[in-house]
Amino acid sequence: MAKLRTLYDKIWDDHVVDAQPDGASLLYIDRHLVHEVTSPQAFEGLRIAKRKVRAPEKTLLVVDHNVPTTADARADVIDPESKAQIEQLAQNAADFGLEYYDAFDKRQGIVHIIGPEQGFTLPGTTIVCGDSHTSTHGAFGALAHGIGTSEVEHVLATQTLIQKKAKNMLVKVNGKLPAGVTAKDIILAIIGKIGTAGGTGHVIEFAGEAIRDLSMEGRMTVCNMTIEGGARAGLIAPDEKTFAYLKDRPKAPKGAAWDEAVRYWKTLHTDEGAHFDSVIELDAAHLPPIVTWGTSPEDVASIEGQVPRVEDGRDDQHKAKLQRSLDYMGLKGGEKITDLKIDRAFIGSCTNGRIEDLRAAAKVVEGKKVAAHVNAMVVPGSGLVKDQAEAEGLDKIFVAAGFEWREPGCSMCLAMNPDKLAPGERCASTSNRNFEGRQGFKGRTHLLSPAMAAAAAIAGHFVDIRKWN
Amino acid sequence: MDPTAMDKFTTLTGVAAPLPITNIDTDMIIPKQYLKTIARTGLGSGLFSELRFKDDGSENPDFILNKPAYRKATILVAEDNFGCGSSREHAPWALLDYGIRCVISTSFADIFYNNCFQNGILPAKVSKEDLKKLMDDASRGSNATLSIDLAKQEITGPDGGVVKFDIDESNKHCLLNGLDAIGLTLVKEGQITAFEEKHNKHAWA
Repeated sequence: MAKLRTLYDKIWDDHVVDAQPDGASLLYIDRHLVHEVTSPQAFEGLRIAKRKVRAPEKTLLVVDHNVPTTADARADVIDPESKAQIEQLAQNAADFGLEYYDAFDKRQGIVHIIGPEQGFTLPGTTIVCGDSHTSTHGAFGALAHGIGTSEVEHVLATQTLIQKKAKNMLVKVNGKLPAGVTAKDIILAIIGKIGTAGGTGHVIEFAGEAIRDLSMEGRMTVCNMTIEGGARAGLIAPDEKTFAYLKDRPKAPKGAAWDEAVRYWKTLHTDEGAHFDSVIELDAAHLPPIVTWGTSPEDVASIEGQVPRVEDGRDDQHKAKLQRSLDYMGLKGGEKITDLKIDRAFIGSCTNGRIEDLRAAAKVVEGKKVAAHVNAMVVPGSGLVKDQAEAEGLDKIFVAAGFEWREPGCSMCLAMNPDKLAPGERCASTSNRNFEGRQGFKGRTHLLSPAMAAAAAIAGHFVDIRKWN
Repeated sequence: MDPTAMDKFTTLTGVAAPLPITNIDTDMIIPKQYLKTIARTGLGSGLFSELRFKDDGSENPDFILNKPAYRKATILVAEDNFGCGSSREHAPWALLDYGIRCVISTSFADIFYNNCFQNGILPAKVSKEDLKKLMDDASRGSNATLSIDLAKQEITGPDGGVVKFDIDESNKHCLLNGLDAIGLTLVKEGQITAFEEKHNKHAWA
């Protein structure tokens, strides 16, 4: 009898070019996404060594991290370093003959949003990008993870990576999500449970009724933040929802090739009884909306809960960590989450910048006004998301409520462009990281779902979306 | 010398600075404003900049690397999960440019860990008990010198006490020899081409 294999095992086995005696393997890479921040040194390395890009047709370039999100600033990027990086990407695309979406292309957007949108992301493929949130693409049953710039150069030159096989973790989310609780709350709850290093050395497969019930957008949110739980890659087995999302996308197979691909994709699931190194189970039915209170994505609290106190720490190391986070966040400990007032709200990013996220937020703010002391903005994840939202009139709802409606990009998720928090500002953010300084020097980030961020913008403080009307 | 190869790492004796912080992320190691460079070098000035410098840009005298005994540190000793967060290789580039060649912790985030080996930096994994000892050793100011021997996988403290660290054989081999990974892979170009000929026939590939 054939060995029982997990989804990860199957994709891995299909991509091994050479298994080395020291335990590392040379793994073939099907898709390579490239953006302006982590690639210039890789292309420079190719030039120095007089190497070419091995598979230009498997490589897609887009500008996202640095681009300003207002139309005027986009046309004339003032920051000379950002400008140089953007121009360098265009130059590299031209020099090496690579497809590139510039800031004025409708298809431009955050690299992890445009991959699926174009059908570049496909089940069963291996996908890499010099960005840790490459884990997003695992929502399609693709083995996808972030790499450093030296590895970007390695993939450009050889279309392979030297990899050691990771361990397999299964996270099973049982039951049905209550109203008002979303994919974002699922993944924040998982990170809270396993910790930010809980998935280190693992690939996590997400399964269970609550995962199957998620839309592709929701599944992308879950896989996107897998890296915040320490695992480089998340995986969800492809199903009819996956195929329906991909059908007729520009880069997806067509005609007979599509039928052949679907036949193969249907084999991409973990065999019944296959071995996982660890299994975690979670009950979706009892999940509350979640807000992070501290400076690590594992610092989660229920919207009904409180900020922890230093004395709640397990040991001295944990107490020191709590103290550091509380000090940074301007909190004493013991505050009710719903009592925390915000200054800013940010709806966007590769975690929650897709059309479904914008619809959820718009539904909450329709006919209401952003609190007087709050500055709120919506940054669509791509030009196509922006177009779709405008076709549905969502932009008008946001603008009428007092939100800024921006051009697509990474924006204030990492604040490399002009969008950033001022020191001390507290932000309700749909992004993925609440690290010290992440959204701006001394800025204070609370992670939460799009509907929860929208509600906080209106109320001026965190509120329980389940009680919103 | 081959311009594509990195520096070897064999042995290192130097000052070790204690950083008793859990989950030191790559945003902390090198904040985003330094990622706008198109070069690999010069990032040392941004290393831990939000901790190293005060709001007015002057040095924060309380930060460990600004204390006289630690200004020339070549080793860091940090708590669990060092290097979590972003994939930015600017983090190891900044460490290297500042002069840090080895980070000691109980655990490292996967992407940062890989990135170290591409740059001749040793991420040394030790047990929780041993980290406590090394954190104590590193807190001895002018006497905080550690000696690292990669071949033997040993760290010797100022009192002569020896601690073992974990590393797998392939990573160790790469560091000891300063190998160019791309050059090594291109030796297998025939295999890659043969794989592609079969693989590219799939409709989904």
